[in-house]
Amino acid sequence: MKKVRMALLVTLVLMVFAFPAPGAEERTLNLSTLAPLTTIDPHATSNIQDIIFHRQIFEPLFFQNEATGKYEPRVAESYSISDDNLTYTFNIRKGIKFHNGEALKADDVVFSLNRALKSSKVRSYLASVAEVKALDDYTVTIRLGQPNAAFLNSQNMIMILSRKEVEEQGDEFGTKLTLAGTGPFYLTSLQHDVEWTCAAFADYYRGAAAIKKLHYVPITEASAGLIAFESGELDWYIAPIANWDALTNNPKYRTELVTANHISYVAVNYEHPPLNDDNIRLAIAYAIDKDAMNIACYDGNAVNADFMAPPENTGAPTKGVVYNYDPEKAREYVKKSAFPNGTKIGIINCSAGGYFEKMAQVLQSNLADIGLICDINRLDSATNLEMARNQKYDLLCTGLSPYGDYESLRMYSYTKMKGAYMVKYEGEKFDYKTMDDLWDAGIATTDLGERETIYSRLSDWIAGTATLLPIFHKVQPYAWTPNLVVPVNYPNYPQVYEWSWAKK
Amino acid sequence: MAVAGVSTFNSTQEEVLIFKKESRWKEVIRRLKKDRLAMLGLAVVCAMILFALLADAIVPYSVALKMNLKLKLALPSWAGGPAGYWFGCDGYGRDLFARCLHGSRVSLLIGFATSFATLAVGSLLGALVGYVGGRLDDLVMRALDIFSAIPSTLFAMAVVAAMGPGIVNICIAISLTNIPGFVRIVRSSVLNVAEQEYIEAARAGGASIPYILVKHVLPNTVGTLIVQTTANVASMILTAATLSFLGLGINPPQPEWGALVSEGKEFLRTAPHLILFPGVMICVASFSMSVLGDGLRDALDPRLRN
Amino acid sequence: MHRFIFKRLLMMIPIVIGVSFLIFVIIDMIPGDPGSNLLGAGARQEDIDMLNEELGYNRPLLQRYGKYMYDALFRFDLGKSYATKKPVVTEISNRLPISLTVAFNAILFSLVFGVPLGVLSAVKQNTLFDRIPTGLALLLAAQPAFLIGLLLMLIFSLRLGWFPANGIASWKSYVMPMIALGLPYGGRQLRFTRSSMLETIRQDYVRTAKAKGATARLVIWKHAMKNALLPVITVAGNSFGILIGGAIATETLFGLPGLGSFIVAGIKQKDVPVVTGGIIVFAVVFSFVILAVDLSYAFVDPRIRAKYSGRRG
Repeated sequence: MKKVRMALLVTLVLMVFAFPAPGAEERTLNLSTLAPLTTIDPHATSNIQDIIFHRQIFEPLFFQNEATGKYEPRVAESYSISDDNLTYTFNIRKGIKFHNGEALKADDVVFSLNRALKSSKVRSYLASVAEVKALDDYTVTIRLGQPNAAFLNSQNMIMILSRKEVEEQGDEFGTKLTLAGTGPFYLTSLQHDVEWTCAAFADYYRGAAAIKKLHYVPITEASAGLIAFESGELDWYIAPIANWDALTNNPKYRTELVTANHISYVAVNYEHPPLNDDNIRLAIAYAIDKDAMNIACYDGNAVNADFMAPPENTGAPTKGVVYNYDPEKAREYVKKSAFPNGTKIGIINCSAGGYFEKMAQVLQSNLADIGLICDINRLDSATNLEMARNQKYDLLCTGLSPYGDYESLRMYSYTKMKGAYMVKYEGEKFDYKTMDDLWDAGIATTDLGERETIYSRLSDWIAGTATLLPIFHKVQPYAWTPNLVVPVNYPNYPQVYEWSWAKK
Repeated sequence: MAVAGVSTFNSTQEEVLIFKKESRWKEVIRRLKKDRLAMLGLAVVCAMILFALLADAIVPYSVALKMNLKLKLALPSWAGGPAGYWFGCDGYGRDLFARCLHGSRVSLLIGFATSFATLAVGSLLGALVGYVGGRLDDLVMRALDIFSAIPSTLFAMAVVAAMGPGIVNICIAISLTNIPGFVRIVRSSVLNVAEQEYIEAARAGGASIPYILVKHVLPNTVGTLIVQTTANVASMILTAATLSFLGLGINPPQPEWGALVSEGKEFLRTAPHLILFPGVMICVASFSMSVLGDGLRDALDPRLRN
Repeated sequence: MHRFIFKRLLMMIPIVIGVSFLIFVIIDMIPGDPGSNLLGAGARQEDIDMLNEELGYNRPLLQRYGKYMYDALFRFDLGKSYATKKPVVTEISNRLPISLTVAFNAILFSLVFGVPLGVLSAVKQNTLFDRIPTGLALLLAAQPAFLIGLLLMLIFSLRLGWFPANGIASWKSYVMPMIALGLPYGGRQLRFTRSSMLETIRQDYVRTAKAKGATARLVIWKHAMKNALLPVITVAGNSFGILIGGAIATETLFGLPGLGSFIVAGIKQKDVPVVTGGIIVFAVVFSFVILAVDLSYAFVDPRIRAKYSGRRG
């Protein structure tokens, strides 16, 4: 009660003495995440909401710029690769300080990578690593068990931590405030599910960030978040697409649509009859109206996809087998199939709450148009994932975020990596060994041209099975206040370091 | 429970019962007829059930599923939208009127089916434990204590998550959460009734337990049951709507009022008609069921007569 | 009386055991395991197995349950969340006060407008003073909570800028959730007060008092109110109990880190310690509230007090 009265009093006082606006430099930037932070330990999460925030306070050896696809030096200044493509030597930048003031040494890098190798959450990124060694205080070598052209890409997901800080916090690391990072911001307060704040790190080696204070809140409900943004509680927001037109037409806001590094697709379980009939699967591929799905899910703002990877990814195919909406052709394939008059083809699985259930409904309607009948099973995301992993579905509407390289798609088809794929190619039906070999060949060479050729063959192999059908690349509807200068909006991970307050 | 006219009547126990029943129901109906609001509620409920039954004759179900993305979020025809769409179109360009109409089938089905399921299970269990008493009573009531200590929405969520979506599972989940309350009501009514002299007389006459329960105990608690059930129908429709909001409703594209409201939620500011129409439907259904329930309660409780 | 309270407290132990077992079994029936859930799409089976092993989830259900119950009853340790690795007790103790505040405010709000209007409509039965509030109450009770919440947000956050749309930064953050939750419950409270008042007004002793010449107002306030209050207390207590963990939609909407949304997140991630711990705490709080309701009965009604003091509880 006392608190309430005090708050009332303070509010009144503030209202009476219209307080001077704080200088542009000290203004706090208010941001939100779509979910509470699960942890502050970057090696203990694979949750994208966590990672988006972690990237403001932690850094990898080399950072892959999402917009350009190029690698930028961070903790490491430069690297070299041995002739056999198996040993990477990283030269660690001198003079880097952790947020706790300690200097970063090669020992911290080795510690971090070895720690990540033991974490079930991130060790798959380092799957090819055989050994990590410090040659001296500023040189680290990483030896791979087999060549991996995508190694730089996957080390981008492993953050370098202060050994001292992590060991001091022990089991509690990740659950409480930590200064174990080297990034442009450091944590100043932490309540995982309420709010957390950061301040610009004065000793940051690329120069202190222009924005001095960050304040994060988790907002799970999109419409509530939009209202928070419009009432000035947030400075930058990923808006719900349904309100996009109103936002772009409002001169009070800056807006930009950025295509996400993401692919939404339909998986077809060829093992379940009648989906084992090639003609039925081809009919489905041609029956899907990508434009309609795009309109239903993203008001037509998403980018229709021809292939199973965003075009900007390293090695992503640009030509090859593509299915586009052609209901006539689809009907022909139905006629050619063992079920010329159409048939029941099973159930479409999708997770509840997002746009996947919209995709599922359009898919159902598209298929009904060519005489293929199916039901929809809307599941909570955990159940949906579990069923997908075990091929307990007929059709599946879902999506995936690759991380910059076509190689990241491997786990969704490669039969030697159990558990990750949604479509299980191992079996009589397809020549899966060819596919596996192509994946292996794809990372065995560092020559980009060669890789592109291999991946384009892979893309055609996958498309030929008509089991993974790309639909669209979703968009991120970014909106922010004109007080804020955002030079580049990235597809997935914002870089607040580059932002600044507008000069008045 | 003294009923007017009984006090002067002087005959055997059996005859009193018969007299009580007949005159009481006549009296109840007479009183209910006088309650204009309750009659309005009854009329609306009947009309809704009728519309739900005749839905296919009014608009075929296929219309409720037919997509036309060119008409996404189209306004109602009377508000400048395309002709023929009285309620406008939803986020897929489907006819919202057809969806609301066919949605009434599922919503009313969930409302009534779950209410009757809880009525059946709850009253039988309540009557049984109330009448038998002793160990069985203790055991069942403690088990129900456990059930009712769990928040009903969370319990329903967990049950649906475990059993998977679908109308039947949702009905089971919602019913399960409502049974404990029902058992308690019936049990206490039974305890009240069981102490009455005529039951003791019947028991002394050698009647079996099921016979006494069905013949004497249940008819005497029927008033409470009716009132509770009508109140339940409305709250069950709302619970189903809440489950839909939490993403655990029935599977799309089948329309259901709660699902329609939560589908419309993201368009609240750009196309409010998507929430308005199904919202009004839920409101009207729940409102009319409630006034009907209130009217029945007033009519059944002799102390409330004017 | 002490004996009665002691007995009721003792009864909570079987409830806690029963509730936790039930939840353990139900969560176990949900397809999937926490490992595959936490790692998400694209995880390798070997990583999933490793995580499940770390979490102790690969052991049989009864063994897990036994260990959980042992820790819970003898060490007051509800385990650690699978997702955040934070102790569930800490998480709950952060969240429970928020849930309690929200529920308490909402019930208070519902009483403040529900009870007086209920009395008014009972006293003025079948007049406009009866019809309008009753109709309003029925309309409010028929609204999904998230709808009222969204509309409040549009008005008070966006248009007027009075209250923040999200978070728990100050007392202001609690105002809109209070109204959004309190309105429908107020509607229920109104209807209940009305019918309870009507029943009491019609009772013989009130008539007698009236006949003896007491003024109508005195009769209503002194005699009828006290008796009509009993069922109102029950409804308020029950609603309070339900709201602590049941205000999920409102918590999600206003970004309140309460107990309900915590448990929901746990169900979605198959986070067994979170769900079980959360629901146990909820069940205990609920039992306390019901006990408080029963005790307040005794406080209002001397006849019931006499009953509690006797042998049969």
